[in-house]
Amino acid sequence: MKLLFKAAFILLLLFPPTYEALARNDRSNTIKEQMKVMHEHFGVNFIYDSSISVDVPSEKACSPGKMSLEECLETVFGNSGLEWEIHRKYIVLTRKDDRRRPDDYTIFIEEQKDTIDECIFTALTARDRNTTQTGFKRIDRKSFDTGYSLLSSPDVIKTLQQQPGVAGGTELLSGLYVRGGDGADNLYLIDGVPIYQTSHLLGLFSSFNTDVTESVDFYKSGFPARYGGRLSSVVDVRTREGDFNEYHGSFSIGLLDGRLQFEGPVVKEKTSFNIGLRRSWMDAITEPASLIIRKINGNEFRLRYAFRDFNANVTHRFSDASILSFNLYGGKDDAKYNRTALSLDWGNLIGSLDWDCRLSDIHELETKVYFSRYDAGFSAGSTLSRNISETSDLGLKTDFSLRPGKRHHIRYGASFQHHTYHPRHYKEGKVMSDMRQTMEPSAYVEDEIIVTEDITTNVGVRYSAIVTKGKTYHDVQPRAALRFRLNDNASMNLSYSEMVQNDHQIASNYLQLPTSFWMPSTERILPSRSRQAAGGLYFSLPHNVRVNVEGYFKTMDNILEFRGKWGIYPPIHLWEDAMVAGKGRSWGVETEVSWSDEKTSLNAFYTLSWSQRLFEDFYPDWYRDRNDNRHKITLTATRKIGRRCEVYAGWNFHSGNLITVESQALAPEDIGSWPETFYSKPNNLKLPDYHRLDIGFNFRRTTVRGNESIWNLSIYNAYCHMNPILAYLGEQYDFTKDNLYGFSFVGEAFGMIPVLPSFSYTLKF
Amino acid sequence: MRAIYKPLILILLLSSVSGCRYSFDIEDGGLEPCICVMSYICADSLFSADIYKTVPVYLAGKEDMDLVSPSYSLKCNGKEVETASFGIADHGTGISSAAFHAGDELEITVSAEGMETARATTTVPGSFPEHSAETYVDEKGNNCARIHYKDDKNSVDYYAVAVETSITIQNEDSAPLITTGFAMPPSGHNVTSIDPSAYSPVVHQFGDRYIFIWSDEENEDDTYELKYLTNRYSNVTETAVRFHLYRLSEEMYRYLYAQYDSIYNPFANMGLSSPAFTYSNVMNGTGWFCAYSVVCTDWMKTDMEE
Repeated sequence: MKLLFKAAFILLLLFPPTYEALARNDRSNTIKEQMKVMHEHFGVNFIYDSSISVDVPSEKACSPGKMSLEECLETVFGNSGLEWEIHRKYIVLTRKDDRRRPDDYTIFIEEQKDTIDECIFTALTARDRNTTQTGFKRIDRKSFDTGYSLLSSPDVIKTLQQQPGVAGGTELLSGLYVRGGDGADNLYLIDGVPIYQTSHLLGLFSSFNTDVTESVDFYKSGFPARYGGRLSSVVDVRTREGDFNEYHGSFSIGLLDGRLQFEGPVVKEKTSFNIGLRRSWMDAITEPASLIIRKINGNEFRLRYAFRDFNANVTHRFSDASILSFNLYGGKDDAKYNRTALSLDWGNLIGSLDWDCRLSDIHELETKVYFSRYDAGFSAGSTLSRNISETSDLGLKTDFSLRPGKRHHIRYGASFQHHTYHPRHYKEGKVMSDMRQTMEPSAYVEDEIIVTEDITTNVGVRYSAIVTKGKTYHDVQPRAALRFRLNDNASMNLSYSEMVQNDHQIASNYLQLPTSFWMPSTERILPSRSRQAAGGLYFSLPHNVRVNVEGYFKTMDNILEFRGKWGIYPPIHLWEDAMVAGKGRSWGVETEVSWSDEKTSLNAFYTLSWSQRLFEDFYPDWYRDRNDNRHKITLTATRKIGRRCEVYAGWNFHSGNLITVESQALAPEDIGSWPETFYSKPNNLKLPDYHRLDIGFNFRRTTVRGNESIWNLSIYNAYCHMNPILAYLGEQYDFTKDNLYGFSFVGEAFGMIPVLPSFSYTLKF
Repeated sequence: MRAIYKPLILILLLSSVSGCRYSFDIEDGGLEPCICVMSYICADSLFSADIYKTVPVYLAGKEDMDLVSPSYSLKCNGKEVETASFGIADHGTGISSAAFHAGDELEITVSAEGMETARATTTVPGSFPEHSAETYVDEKGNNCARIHYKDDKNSVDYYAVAVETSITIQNEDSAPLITTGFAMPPSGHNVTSIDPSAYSPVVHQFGDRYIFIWSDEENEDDTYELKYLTNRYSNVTETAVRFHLYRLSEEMYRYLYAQYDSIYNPFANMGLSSPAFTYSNVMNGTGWFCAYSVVCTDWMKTDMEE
């Protein structure tokens, strides 16, 4: 017995830290206390549902001085039945077994203070299923942080190209051909302001910086009455306002570009700012290389390309009911190749001042004054000869939102735009130009009505007019949408909408070169119009499976095609003669199946569609549109591996695009002589089917200071399928026994995009 | 293991910057045989049309090119007219008939076994309106001409002109030699220039001559200006020029315009441009069936180039 007491006394003496450890554990033995310790040491705040109890004993204590933040979190929450996610300076806690949480929620922190007791969640769930609109998709900024990003730079338009019903056009370019559209009939908005040129590097990158993007609302049909001006789609990009309480940002270096984003308070809880910058690196390589070549060859060789853009937002809260914000976007591209004195430059400058005001509990106002300017310059062969085009808008827009009762949500508003279109040509001091100015007033009213518990409808009408030289066009565009709730897990939507487009892109080719310019409707060039009826069934099935099936039929009138003859640059003084008007129609069925849990997300999209054109000026019957891709399949999978790694895989397939070739041959005159060939109809040859596999990885770490770093590795076209960028009909000699005359024709395709690996490093601070 | 990293990275980098050309099968492109009609109908001249069978290019030289059980129908102002048909080279059939005149509405229908019936219509235009012409040499030494004409403002009209030159050469100890020929646009006229004011006429080779084509929609002041090139000779004693003035049917104008576009449009035939160059007024077939009228001015002496 004495020996036992001696041993215990010695142990106690030898291990005094045990006392402290035990005492510490007694004092900080709840999860809440451990959270306080982490908050004090790492500067993080915790966000969790109030139903989660944190006043429970913690099995283990963290030692901040010896552990990283991740290790502390694992120590405290590892066996607690809770999961944690790091979002900058916030740790989000959820229950491990909570399968009710959908993966498409967005969390707005309405009230944040530097304490763990006062955080409020507001979540918008499944917006795209609970709306009356058909063809609607909301993409939030979380979606851009997945493993997929083209050349390690997430891109808005590349993400939209994966949607069903959307054709991407030429490989790698930022074309958006929505349900038979022609690419120039999409309304792109940055914070409600139209933007004309949406691409950098001939379409490799879009003009939208995902670092500052809060959400993207994408409409393919069922357009609400508040939108108008384009035929086929609305891409409404909203940028984030800055954090009102803390400074933070991110820095990213990729293979082709670098990005910097920084936000924070100007006056805490009153005024904030958010800035995003982006610049390409290519000139860092091409300029020194050009210098070396110039020195070696003694000529004027110079090859340069660069793009840069910036986004800036300043928001001031006068009160919860009155918020003023200023948004600015500027982007510029320029390319030079001095061998042929080729020089291109183009860019946008957009600014807006917005005032959001809550007039009463049921009445809200949003007023905006803005300008938008796009300009492009092009010269070739001689620096004394140059083409410039400018398109600029000044606008005033007011939108009201009124909820007179539980069953009605009325939106109404008006806008006025002044457009200036000014393409011109300079040569030896002389100018040839065609300047047009138009005014475009519009007004709308729509009402979302909860008719019964199972029936919701949105009916509206939009009026727009364009006052152009010598002519005024008035248009009334009805909009209607209906949602039937079939049961708790299924709904059906129907919609009908008409859209009018009063300005037109004058382009001689499909390459989205800055040589195209915009012009308004005139006495000879009428406004274009689309009519679309759509319907869909939306199901939420067990095990988190969602199935959407949507069909549509769409017609377009007074759409334009380039007549030809002129080369790269359409004629300024004869542009009306250079365009011909025709019609389009398209129909199809789009199917989406998706499944997700906390770690894995699977999506499958299939589109079966037809798209046709009728331009009697050059062909008397309907013919296939060049993007009449009969089948389109997109399969994507995202998986979180542990807490630090995400992997993405996406497979894209669509039936080949169509080109026009001289497809018909006469009998050749002699053996060995080529036959005379003719065209049969437009878009008469289908190219090989398009398919590619993209893979992406995100490796996340938390630095010692609690910042998040991400290494992204992306592989575009992982199995190197050379999809054609351009193709033509080739001729070759063929002296096989089947061939009497010794020649044959083959399709020749040129693919430029093999496997493209890329990487980027991002630090969020 | 480390030794293979470097070449692997190099291969990866090289593959990421290379492109490639490859052939693909065109046989499943949905192409089918069709009838080809070729007919330029000159007002007040004997009518002729050539009919052929065309096949998808991948069958050229491998398939029988004769039309099976062909039948032809030619109508003028809704009434069937008599035609004569005969075989022509390269598996074709020729059709001829009496002359047609200004205002006649013509329709041809061709059918054959196993092929869609082809049909085309055109209207014979009236003669070139009242006109005058002048020639001059501009400050850059180009031969130029102006055609003044009285255009009908109530209709859209289509015109063309061919420039025929006559050069008299007097060599020593020989009789004067007169050489005539048709002029073409000056060399170097830049059809794809970015300069909107660059001289870039729509020109098409029409038989043995080049014709300059325009419509009154493009030319509101009733004067067409053109530049032309003549061959240079020594010992020239006299030069003269006359103009063949065409009035084209709409179908002919559109067809020649499309031909010009398909030749000079850098984005045509690659799938990167509007398919406007495919124009043909032969429904369910290909080719052209179009009418025109032509008048000729008197010879006008011109200043000789130095």
